[in-house]
Amino acid sequence: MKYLDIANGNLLFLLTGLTILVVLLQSLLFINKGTKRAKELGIEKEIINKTITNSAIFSIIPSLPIIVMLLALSVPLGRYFPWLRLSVVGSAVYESMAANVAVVSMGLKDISDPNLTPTIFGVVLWVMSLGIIWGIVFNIFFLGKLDQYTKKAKATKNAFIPIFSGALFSGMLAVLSVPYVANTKNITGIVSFASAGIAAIIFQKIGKNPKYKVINEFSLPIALIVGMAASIIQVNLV
Amino acid sequence: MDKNSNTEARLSAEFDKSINKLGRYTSIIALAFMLSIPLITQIYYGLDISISDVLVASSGLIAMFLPMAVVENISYYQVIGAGGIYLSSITGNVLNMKLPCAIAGMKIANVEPGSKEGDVISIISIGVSSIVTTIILFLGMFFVGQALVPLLNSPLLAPGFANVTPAILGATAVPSLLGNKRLSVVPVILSLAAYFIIGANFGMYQSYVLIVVMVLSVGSAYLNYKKSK
Repeated sequence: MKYLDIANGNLLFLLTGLTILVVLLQSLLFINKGTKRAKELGIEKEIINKTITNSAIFSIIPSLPIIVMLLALSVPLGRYFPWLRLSVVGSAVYESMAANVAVVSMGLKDISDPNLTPTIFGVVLWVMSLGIIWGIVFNIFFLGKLDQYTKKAKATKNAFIPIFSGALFSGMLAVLSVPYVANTKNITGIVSFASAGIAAIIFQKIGKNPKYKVINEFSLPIALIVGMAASIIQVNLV
Repeated sequence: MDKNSNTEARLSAEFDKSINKLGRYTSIIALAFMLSIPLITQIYYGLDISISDVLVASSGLIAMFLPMAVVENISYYQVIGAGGIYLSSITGNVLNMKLPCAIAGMKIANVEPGSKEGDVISIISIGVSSIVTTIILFLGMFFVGQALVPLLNSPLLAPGFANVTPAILGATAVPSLLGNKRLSVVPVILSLAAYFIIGANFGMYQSYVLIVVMVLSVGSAYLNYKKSK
């Protein structure tokens, strides 16, 4: 038996499909709990609906390149496992790296090595699964405690608490952005970052006018498209 | 404390308790399903896999991703709350989709990250985002993928899709950082310095830089806060 018979087989389809369904159900349960709590907090229904629409629209475009990744990974790994990993739990960057680490440690050249056997494929499944679960494991054991302590600190209503959250937020955004802003080897990335940023600010300013409120609601998806368009222009024209 | 704020404190505590319970149970279930995939495949096909091979092959990845996962979850928790973390750890694509989506949602709802309202909006945004990605990948795999790939990979459009992540980060980070200059100066300078010192391997150390910069940002904000009092 070739490993691709396993990788594209019905069993793996069933297992991955079931897992995706379980995670979908989880998202629905959380959304349900979230909207109930939003009502208690007095957040208007209109705002909730806007959040939902905006999140949905915002997520469409970044999901498209994942399809390319999915089809590329399904050549060496079969269709179903990459389908699971890119739909839930994994990320586009992580998956091909983890698969390669696994096969290299089994003595192969890379994931497209023709000597990949069913047993090695089984090892790949294990390694990719064991590599990604630690965030979930951490949450099971520690997140509840972390949340409890944080909420206790916040309950003191110390005036510094909002500043504390704001500082953490700014720190996070700065660190996550810097590989794109400061990487002079990828000018297109800088162009994309800057133009999306400027566009977002402009749209939010325009959107402050009640006449153009709708622009404010969709300022982020539109800014995202502006950033992508700017990279296309920069690469193709400049 | 008046009666209303007492009621709200009770509701808030109840919600925290129930979201952690839901998070823990669903995490355990999702984890069991994820690990059942290699296990059942191995048993069903009678694959002769040695535990030591698996451990050797995964040790490098675990050494890298375990601390990263812990640091990231603690850091992101401060922004998207416990519910958002439970969901995003299971649904994946955190940095390039879930986090920006939650930040965008909070902006639209006009609530602060780290507040009760912010946590709730994050849960809704991340849940919706995850469902959308799942639907698109389902369509991509079973129906439109083959037709879409030439378009997405076309020389004209490819640079746009290759730079989706910087565009997402630009659209979310720039307005937030410029909108709060007092708090952003220190982290921006620190992260730029870290990037130029570490250089090309920044990606490998990003989560450690993250925790250091977050701690120092809070420290400097605290000093400013004390001074202004």
